Amino acid sequence: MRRKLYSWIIIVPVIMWIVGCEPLVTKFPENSDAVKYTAQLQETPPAVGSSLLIMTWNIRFGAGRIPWFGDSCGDRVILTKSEVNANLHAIVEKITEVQPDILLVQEIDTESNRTGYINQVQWILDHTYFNYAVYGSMWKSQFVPSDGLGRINTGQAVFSRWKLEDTKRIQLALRGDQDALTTYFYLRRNILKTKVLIPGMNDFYILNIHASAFSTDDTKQKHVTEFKQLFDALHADGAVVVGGGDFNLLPPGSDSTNYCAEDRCPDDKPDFCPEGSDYSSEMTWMEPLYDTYNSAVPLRDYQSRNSDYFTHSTSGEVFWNRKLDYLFTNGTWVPGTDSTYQEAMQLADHAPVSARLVVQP
Amino acid sequence: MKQLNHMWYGLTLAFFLTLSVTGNTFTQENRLPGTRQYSEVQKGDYQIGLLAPLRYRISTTMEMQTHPILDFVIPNARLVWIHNTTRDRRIQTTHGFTYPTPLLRMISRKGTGGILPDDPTIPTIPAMVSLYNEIRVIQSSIPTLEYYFSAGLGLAGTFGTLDSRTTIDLPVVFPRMGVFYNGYNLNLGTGISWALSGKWVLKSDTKILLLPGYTEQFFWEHQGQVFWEFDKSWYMMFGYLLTYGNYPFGSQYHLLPLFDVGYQW
Repeated sequence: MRRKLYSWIIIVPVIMWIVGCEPLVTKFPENSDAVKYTAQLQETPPAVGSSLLIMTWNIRFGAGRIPWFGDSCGDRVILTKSEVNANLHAIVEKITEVQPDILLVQEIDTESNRTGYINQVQWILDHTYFNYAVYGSMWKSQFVPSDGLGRINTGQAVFSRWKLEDTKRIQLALRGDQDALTTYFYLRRNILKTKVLIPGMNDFYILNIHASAFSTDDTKQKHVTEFKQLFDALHADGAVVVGGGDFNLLPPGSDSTNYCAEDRCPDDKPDFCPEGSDYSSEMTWMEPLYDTYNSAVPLRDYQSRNSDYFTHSTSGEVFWNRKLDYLFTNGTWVPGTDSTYQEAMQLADHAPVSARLVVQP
Repeated sequence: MKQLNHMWYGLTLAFFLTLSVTGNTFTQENRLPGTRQYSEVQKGDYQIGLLAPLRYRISTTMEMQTHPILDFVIPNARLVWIHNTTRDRRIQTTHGFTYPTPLLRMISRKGTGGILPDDPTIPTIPAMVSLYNEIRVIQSSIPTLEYYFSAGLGLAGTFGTLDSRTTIDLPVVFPRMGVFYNGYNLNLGTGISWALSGKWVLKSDTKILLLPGYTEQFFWEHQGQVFWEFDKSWYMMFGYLLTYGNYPFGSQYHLLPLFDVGYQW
């Protein structure tokens, strides 16, 4: 009896020791539920007219144009709460001005040391007219032991006036051009899928993607393929789908395809090309989406004058110089309603893009 | 090759950080690792672990503790002083200091291994020192069983601006570094040590750490450890640490594994 007691006294700590090996990084299953949010104060949605305004925006985690080390030639790492609050206020001001009915957001933080642990999904919900949101994380780690980043949770969100259901986070392929240690701590890109319950509209779905940014292999192409497969499946089921986000790819027929010089930092060697700045070998990767679905910005419009539709530049001192952000649908866009808000230069490193979708009961 | 170097640098820093945490050098806590009961330790005895600090019994009433490897980057020392001993009770106090500045500056860097940010808007980690004092009453009703109650006060001084964005928001580390941001901390603890046989010792500790007035104030820790003396001089320890606390991102539980190998002579 005493020996049995001793055995258990030793076995229990051993089991606790094994269970105690908590992973630092959250790995996601192929298909998991997205996180749902509700605004503190609900607003009654307006009656649905003949169209819905849909907008996509990579808000750069409320960093505005602060020279952050990871995506510009900056040296900032941890922003102050007041900096983030000021930038979020400016973002919300723009949203309120445009009044989209549904908003797709990329690079939004929910629990990150770099942005003062402000839950930006809840913050935007509580400072706008949106009632519901869903969130899918692309980078969730208790601690990133690099550059002083610490804890991080960032990803995509969909905001809506109407209820959201059947919300899923669908895992995309991991980058194939990194070593194992970096891959373990790095981003896990995904597609955020949700059904929007709009009165009078059956099976209306939103897909929100933030594809790989700096990969130098075929990871981006895999992401587009996976996105299209999901889009195709919903389309085959008879759903109306709007899919969009930050694809980190240029449209076919872009005048300029190499941004090595534009993205090079002052300390870089003259022949250095930052990862993800040369799109030359990727120029056909967006074609399957353009060929199959309707783009908010028609390809012929873009090709006739690229610069009017640019949505990104790495530095706040350089005006938009490429288009990376898109909206597609298997429904119909109201002709001439697309907007690329290029005046929002200081709010993020991406410009919002919107268009009106014809409501099909 | 560059990535490999980064990896080794990161692992080295992680090793030092693990030592800091498990060696409790941040606040000089006296957790009395090892398998030997108080009565078995003689003047001149040493004990050291891979992660546990070096203990040296100066006299029958005094013990010195420090972590020799960590001393290079985080100078630390503590003195355990036994004041009053009866047949089944003793009262002891612990007094220690820690100077974490070199380690914290070392881990403030760009790239892999950067635990703290190298951000131009964050001032360099200032010189800072913490002093720790604890009183502990240890009761031993039967020779193989000891239990204790303790209360401690930590005080810290920083000689420059310590930016609030330099916290390391991890269990064990965050509450112990809190003393530098808050100026002082309090802790209350209780524990039991049970020698199951000549080779096995079971220990359990529970502790409450408080940072009164700070935005994150409350931390609770419980650890269970099994020591196995597999040789006259060598022992192995494994166990778990269960923590709960208020962090800048909210409250969270953590369950962490504990492991150590020690030598006593």
